[in-house]
Amino acid sequence: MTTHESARVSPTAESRILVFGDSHVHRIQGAVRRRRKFNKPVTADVRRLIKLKAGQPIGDTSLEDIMEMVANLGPDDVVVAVIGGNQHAIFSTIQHPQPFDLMVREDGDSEIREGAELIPYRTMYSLFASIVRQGNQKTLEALRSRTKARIVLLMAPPPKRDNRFIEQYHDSRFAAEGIASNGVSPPALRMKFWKMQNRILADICSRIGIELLEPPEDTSDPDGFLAKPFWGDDATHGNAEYGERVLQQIEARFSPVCNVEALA
Amino acid sequence: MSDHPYKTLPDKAFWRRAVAGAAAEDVDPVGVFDLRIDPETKVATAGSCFAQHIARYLRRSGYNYFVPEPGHPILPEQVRDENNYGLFSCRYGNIYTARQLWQLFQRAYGLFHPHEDAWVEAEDVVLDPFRPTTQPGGYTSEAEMCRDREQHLAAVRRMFEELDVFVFTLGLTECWQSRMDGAVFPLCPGVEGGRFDPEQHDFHNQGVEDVIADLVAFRDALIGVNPGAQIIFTVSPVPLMATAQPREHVLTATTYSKSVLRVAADVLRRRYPNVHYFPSYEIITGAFNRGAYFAPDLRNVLEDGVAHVMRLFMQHATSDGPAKKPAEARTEIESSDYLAAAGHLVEVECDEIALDRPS
Repeated sequence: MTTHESARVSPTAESRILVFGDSHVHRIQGAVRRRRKFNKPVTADVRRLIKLKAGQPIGDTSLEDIMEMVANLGPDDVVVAVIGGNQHAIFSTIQHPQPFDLMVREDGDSEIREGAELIPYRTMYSLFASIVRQGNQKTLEALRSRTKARIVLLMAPPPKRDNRFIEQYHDSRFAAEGIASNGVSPPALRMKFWKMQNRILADICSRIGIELLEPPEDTSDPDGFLAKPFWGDDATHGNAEYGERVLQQIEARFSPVCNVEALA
Repeated sequence: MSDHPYKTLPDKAFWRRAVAGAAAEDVDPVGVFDLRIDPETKVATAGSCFAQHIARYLRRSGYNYFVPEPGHPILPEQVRDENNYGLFSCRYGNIYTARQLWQLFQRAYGLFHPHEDAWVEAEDVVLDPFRPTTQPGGYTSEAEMCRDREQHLAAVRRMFEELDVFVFTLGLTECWQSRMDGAVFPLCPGVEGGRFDPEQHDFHNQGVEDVIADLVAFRDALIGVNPGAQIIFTVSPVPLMATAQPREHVLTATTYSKSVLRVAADVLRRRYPNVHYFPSYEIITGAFNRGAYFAPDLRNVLEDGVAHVMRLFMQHATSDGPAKKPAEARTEIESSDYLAAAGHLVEVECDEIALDRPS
C-alpha cells in the first residue's frame, strides 16, 4: 500500500490533477479509499502534507516534495490546494467571555446579537487578514512561483449550524483549556467569519493568480451552513461523503479529458 | 524704605528668579493647583492632539487612566492602537474646541441630533463627521457607523458619570459648523472626508465669551451627572496648522486662539472650585526654553517638552510622583490567551481528524 491515497491519471490523459493540503484533505482521501475499494476510478492524486505531532508524522507528503511535484506540471495541469481553512473557527467557535459581533454590509447589516459588543468590520478584517495571510499566503506564493499549472484554492466547508453538536464534541476540550463556561458562539457569528475568511482568500488569490473554488453545490442548507448529511464528527470538518462531493466537483471542473466516465 | 506687597512674595512670582535665572529644566510655572490624584483616582482625557501625550503618560505611569471604550479584548493591543482605541478615554478622536466638547455631551445624552450625521464617501465607506479619522478605512455602511456610534456614546456617558478627574486640553477657537443646526465638526468638511459646501457649512471663530459659555454649560452638565467630578483644563501649545480667519496671519491667529482659550480656562478656574488649570501651554511655549521643546516644524512638541509637562504634573498632582503599577487581578481573558486557547482547539481538531473516526 502506498503511503498516500493516490490514483495516477490515465497515461492517455492530457492533464493531471494534484490535490494536497491539511486536515480537510483527509476526507478527500477517505473518498479516494472508498472508490478504490469499489474499483471506481479516481483522476486525482490526493496528498496530505506531513506535520509532526508529538514526534509522530501525520500525513504522507512533505511540502518540499509537493513543490518538486508541481514544478513538473504544465499549463494543462491543475493543482488544488486545500491548505489551512480553519482560521475562521479560531474566532468564532468558542464563545468569548465578552461577547462580540460584526455587521456585514453584504448581508444587509443584520442587527447584532443582544448584549454583544460591535467590532467594526474593517477592524476585525485587518486583524483576521493578517492571520490568514500568515497561514496561507507564503505557501500559495511559493506554489505560484514553482509551477505553470493552474492553481486552485479550495474553500473550507461552511460552518455547522448546530451548537449542541459542537458543544458535545468540545465538551472535554473546553474544560481542558479553562474555558468550559464560555460555550459555543452563535451560528451567525461562525457564518460571518467563514465568509470573511473567503473574502480575504479571494483577495489573496486574485493578487497572485490563483482561483478560489467554492464548496460543492448542494452540500449546504438554504442559509449556507453545511448540510447535516455532510457533517464530520467535529466542529469544522466535513465527512467522507463531503470529501466525495469535493472530489466529484474537482473532477467535473478540471478533468475534461480524463473524466470519471472515460476511465470507467 | 517702606514695605510693600512684593517683598513677601515667593520666588515664583518674579520673572528673573523663576524664569530668566532658572535652568530651563527647573522652570516650574505651576501657580495655583490644588487637585491631588492617587492611583485609584479615575482620570479621563479628551482634547486636541496634545492631550494624547497626557493620556499616554497616565497610561504608562501606573495611575488609573480611565478608558471606558478600550476596544474589545479579542483585539491585540497593536490592533486597538491602530484603530484609535485608548488614544483618549473614549474613541472620539481629537476634540479641538469647547463647542465640540459641549456638543459631545449633548449628543451623548440625546440632547442634540445633528442633521449632517454621516459622510458617505463610497458605497462601502462611511465616516462619522464627528470623528472622521477614528475608524481606519471608514465604516462599511451607515448602519454600522450608527451602531458603533451608539456604543461609543454609551461609553462617553459612562465616562462622564464615573470619572473622578476630567483632563481637557483646549486646542482651537476656529471651527467649521453646519449652517443648519450649528453642529461643529472637528475638521473642515472635505479635508478628511465629507464634501465642503458653502451653502451648508460656515466658518466660526469663537470669542472668549463664546468659549466661556460652552465650558460653563459643559461643567454644569457634568456636575449634573457626576457631582464629584473635577476638571483640569490645559491649553494645547501646538499652533494652528492654518487659519481660515479672513486676512489673518497664522501666527497672530494662533495667538488669538490660545489667548482666548487661556482666558476662558482661567475664568472657569476662578469661578468654580472643581475647575483647575495646568500650565502645559506655558511650559512648552515659555521663552525660558528658547523654542527647544518644538520640533523643526515649530508645531509638534518634542518628547523632552512632554516629559517636562508630565514631570511637573505628577509632582503637583500626586503626593509621590509616578505610582508603582499596582498588581492587578486579571479579570478578563486577554486577546493572546483567548486566541491561543481557541487556536489550540482548532489545531487539535485538525490533528485528530487523522485518527479517522467514523463520520
